Amino acid sequence: MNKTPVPPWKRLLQRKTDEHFAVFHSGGKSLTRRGFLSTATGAAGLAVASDFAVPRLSMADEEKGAEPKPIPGGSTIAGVAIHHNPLPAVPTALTQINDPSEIGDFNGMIIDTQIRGLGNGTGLSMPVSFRADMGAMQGEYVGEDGRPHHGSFVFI
Amino acid sequence: MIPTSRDSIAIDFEEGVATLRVRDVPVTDAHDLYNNLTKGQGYAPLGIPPVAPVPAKVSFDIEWSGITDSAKVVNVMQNFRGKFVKTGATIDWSAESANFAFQSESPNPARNLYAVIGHEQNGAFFHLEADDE
Repeated sequence: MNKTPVPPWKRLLQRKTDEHFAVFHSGGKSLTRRGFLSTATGAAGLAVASDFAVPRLSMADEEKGAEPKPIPGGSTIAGVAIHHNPLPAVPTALTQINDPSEIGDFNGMIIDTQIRGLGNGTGLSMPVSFRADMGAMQGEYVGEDGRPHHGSFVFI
Repeated sequence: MIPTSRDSIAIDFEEGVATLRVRDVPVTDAHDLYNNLTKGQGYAPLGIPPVAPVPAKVSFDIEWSGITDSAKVVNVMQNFRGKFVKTGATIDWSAESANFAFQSESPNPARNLYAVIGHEQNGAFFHLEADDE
C-alpha cells in the first residue's frame, strides 16, 4: 500500500473532527446512573483488546481498561451471535438502516461501509474477490465499568 | 472491534467526507468467515473444514465522500437515533501473514454497496425529541 504525505485537506478533516469533539464531547456531559440503569442491556461481552488508546480524556475518564458494551441484538451466523448490523448490500432507504454502531450506550460519530472488490494474493493465479464490512466509531460511551469514556474503535 | 488511535479517523459530517486509515493492525487470519466465528473449528453444515488461525497484520485506507442522501433516523425498537448521510466509498487494503500477502485493487468507487457517516446516540444516550414522528 502506498504511503503518501497527508495533504492539507486531511489536516482540515482532523481539525473539523477536533471541533466536533470540542462541541459535542467535552464538558463532562455524562449521563445519570438512573438513566444508565433504565436503559442498559445485558448483552454479552465483546472481544476488545485491553490496551486501550483513549483520546482527550476528562479527568474522570483517565482510567484505562473500560471496555465498551456491545449493542443488543445484531445478526447470527453459523449459530454465533454478532453484535453488529451490516449495512444493506442492496438499495435501501437510509431511514431503514439498522443501528450501524457496534457500541451500546454510545454517543458519537460512526462511519460504516459495505464494499467489495478484487485483489491479488500470494500464490493465486488470478484476482480474487473480497467483501468488506468495515467502519469505525468515535465518541463517548458508557463502558463495562458503568462510567463514561471517550474512545475510537475500528471494526474489521 | 479494535481500539485505535484518534488520529486514524477523520470525519467532516457536514461535508460528507471521512477517512479511516490503520496500519499493520495485528489480527488473526482465520482463513474464512466461518472459521473466524467458530475459532477454527470449521462449519460442518456447509462442509467448511477446520482451519487454524494464524497471526497476520492488516492495513486499510477507506474514504467516504459524495453525499447521495441524508436523513434523521429514529428507531425506537433498536434504541438509536441520529443524523446520517449516505455517501460513496473506496477501499484500499492489504494483509500479510507468514506465508501469504494480499493487496486489493486500486480504490474503485464502483465497488461500494452502501456507506454512511452518522452522528448517533444509542442505549443510554437515546432519547426522543419533540419533533420526532
